Amino acid sequence: MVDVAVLIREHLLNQAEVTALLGTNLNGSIYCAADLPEHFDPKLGPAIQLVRSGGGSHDEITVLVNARVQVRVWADVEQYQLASNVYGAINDTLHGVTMVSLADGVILSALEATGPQEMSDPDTGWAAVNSFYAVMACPN
Amino acid sequence: MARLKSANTVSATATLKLDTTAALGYVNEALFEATQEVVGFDTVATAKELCPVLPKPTKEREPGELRGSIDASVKRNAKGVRASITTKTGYGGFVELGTTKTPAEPYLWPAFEQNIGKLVPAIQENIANLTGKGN
Repeated sequence: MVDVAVLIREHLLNQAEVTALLGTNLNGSIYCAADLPEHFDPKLGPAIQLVRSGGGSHDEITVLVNARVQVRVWADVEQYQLASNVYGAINDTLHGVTMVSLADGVILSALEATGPQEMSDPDTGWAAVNSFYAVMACPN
Repeated sequence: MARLKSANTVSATATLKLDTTAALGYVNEALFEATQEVVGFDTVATAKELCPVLPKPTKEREPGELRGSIDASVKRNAKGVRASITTKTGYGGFVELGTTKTPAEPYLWPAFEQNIGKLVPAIQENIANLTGKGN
């Protein structure tokens, strides 16, 4: 079964428009996990967090995955504009893509399901922009 | 001849308009009732089932506070019907989306996802009931 968050990460790492805006945190500043890495520091630049949050498998074509993925951009305190720029770059390169073949599978389609929602983290004050994508994927 | 043709056309248009208005009224009413049923009741009930509850009270929060605050509003507007599900505790969004310290525990969107499929059948049923074809 394909991991849609991993596929999106692979896709975004190939997009120079996105990676140019990200910081120098570990692993390319794109993380497929419900929490951020222990030593993540937004002062080193913004990061993208990808979390699967719902969806299901296709009834008949069992290898197809229909997933909902939360795409969250983190930036330092008050860096809303920077977070918004990263969100925009992601949207430009992900919303509407079809048939993207990657090492771990194929993104058959990706559409933004819920638009940008800004928030400040209640503990750290870091700026965040949330969006959700409906992604259909299958293995290679 | 020309006058007759013109009169017929006007008459036909007027009759059609009346039927369309009545049909739209039924559809709008059915849509409103179905949305109330599916979003206002079913989705709220599912969200309350899925909503995480604190195991014990803290200084700031009581167990079940977030769950108890989940509510829906269904309103008519110029474009049709608009429904929204909200919480009133002030931190419902942090629970749904997660923060740097706590992972997301979605309870609103999954509730919507589980119930939205019922909307079209509910509209069909309400139209049938309103037009007297449901018996």
